Amino acid sequence: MKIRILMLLGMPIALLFAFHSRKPLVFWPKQVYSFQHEAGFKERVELGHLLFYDPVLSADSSVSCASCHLQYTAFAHVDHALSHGIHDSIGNRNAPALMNLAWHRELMWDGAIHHLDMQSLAPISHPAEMGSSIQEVVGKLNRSRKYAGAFYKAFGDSLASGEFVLKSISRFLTTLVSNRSKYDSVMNGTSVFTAQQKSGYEIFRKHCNSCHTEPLFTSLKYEDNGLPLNPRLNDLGRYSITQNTADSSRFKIPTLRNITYSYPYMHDGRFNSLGEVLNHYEKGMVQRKGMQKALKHNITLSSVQKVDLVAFLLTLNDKHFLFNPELGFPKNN
Amino acid sequence: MLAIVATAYAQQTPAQKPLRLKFQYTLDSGVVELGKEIESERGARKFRFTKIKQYVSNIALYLASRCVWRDSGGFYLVDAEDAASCQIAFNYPSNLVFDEISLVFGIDSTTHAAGVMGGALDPLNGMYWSWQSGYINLKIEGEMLDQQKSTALEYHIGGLGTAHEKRFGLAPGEDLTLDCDLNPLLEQALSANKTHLMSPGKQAIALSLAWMQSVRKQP
Repeated sequence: MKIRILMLLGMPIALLFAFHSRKPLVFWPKQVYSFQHEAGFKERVELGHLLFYDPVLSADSSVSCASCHLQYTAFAHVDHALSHGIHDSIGNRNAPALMNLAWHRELMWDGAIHHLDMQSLAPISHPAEMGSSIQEVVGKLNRSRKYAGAFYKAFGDSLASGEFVLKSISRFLTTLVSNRSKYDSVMNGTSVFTAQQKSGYEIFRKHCNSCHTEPLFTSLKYEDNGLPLNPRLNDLGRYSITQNTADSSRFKIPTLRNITYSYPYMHDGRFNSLGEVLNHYEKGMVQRKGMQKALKHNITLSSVQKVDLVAFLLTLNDKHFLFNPELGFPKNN
Repeated sequence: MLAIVATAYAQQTPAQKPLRLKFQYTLDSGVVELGKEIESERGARKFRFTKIKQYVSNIALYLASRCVWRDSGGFYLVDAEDAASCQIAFNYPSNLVFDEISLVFGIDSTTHAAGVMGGALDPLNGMYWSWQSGYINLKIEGEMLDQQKSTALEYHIGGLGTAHEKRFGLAPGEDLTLDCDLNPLLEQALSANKTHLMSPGKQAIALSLAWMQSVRKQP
């Protein structure tokens, strides 16, 4: 009898834990993009998954989205500081890591793209990235007929269109969710930080959290973090979009999730290690008007504090996300 | 039985009247033909246009400044290269009384910020910026010719603040032909030595307002 009662009590608790560990934490903000309930969502994700990994999107069919956004590096590109496109072209920005994009209203380092559906138009058309156009991509897809069945399943029409291509890719992008790191399990109450990680978390909360805000580890805002202007790129970030001088040298704050996998760092990929990044905040910042309040003064940490902070940042790595075969190269491509 | 159903349906659906809206691209009083040279009257400049496209949306009929009917079709791409797209036809209830027609030249800000759409709004039509989110409301491409050289012209006018509503007097039973004169926009752009404008912002807004001055009802 006692055993039965214990089993009855235990089952809902076990179920609660099982359910809890798979869902985003309760304090996560509301998703900006929630396509899950639309008809054909699953089929659209599958189609977007195929397109993401298919070089057909580039002018000479040599470069796919995954060429610069590799799963094992948190959908960033560790080989180059700046994106690497067709004909060995080099772009003008560091390919950002892709994750939790359903929570990002605006995309790109300068927020140039204001809807996830439209995001893939930019790399498709950039002459130093895929060097193609949505017209060319749709033409190629319809000529090959390889995708006719997938388009039919996803949209009830076997012919590709710009709308269908872009929607499929954006639906796939919303499935790139990273929420199963050690940090998440600590927040879920299913794990605990070590003393060193806990110390690092406290340092993080004091110095980093205002920009790299939990749980996305980005406030999604644009800030000037005092990087000296790269004279070769002369990139003023958000200013190029708003033409507002207050936005000069402001860039979108990147997430810190999976940070040790997604180097190099900053919009121009100038830093290759977290040590270089910490050194920048300690003694490399150029003070400018309009900089983030938390960066008005150098952030000086002892060597022990630096090690503790990095130990905490390592808890943001999410191996389930990085090695989940469902997000990798499609099996039937 | 079929006759009864048909009669009942006819009784329920009010009779419809057609309204045809025609767009004509001109340079002063001359009609523009893509690929052919055309000379302006006032500035004595020669041009050859290769592309003229614009979005028209939110067509509505008004009586005494009150909306009495709104087109459900939504968005139209009027492309000089496609004669059929330069004529928009729709039906309105035959007993409707109105004195004005209203059109929005461009895409409203809500649609502008929404996700990808199909039909006239499909980015496939080349009227959506790829480097920055936003519809191009008006696209004019071509060249300015003189004896010595040819100067390429490229105007992609779009982004927030570049879509404008304009009303024209119209009576029931009347069709509407709109002359869209390229000259005021070109005069304004060229007087500022602007041969290319392909980003949103103040200059785009200024040229979109010049465009609005040039759209007139054909007498």
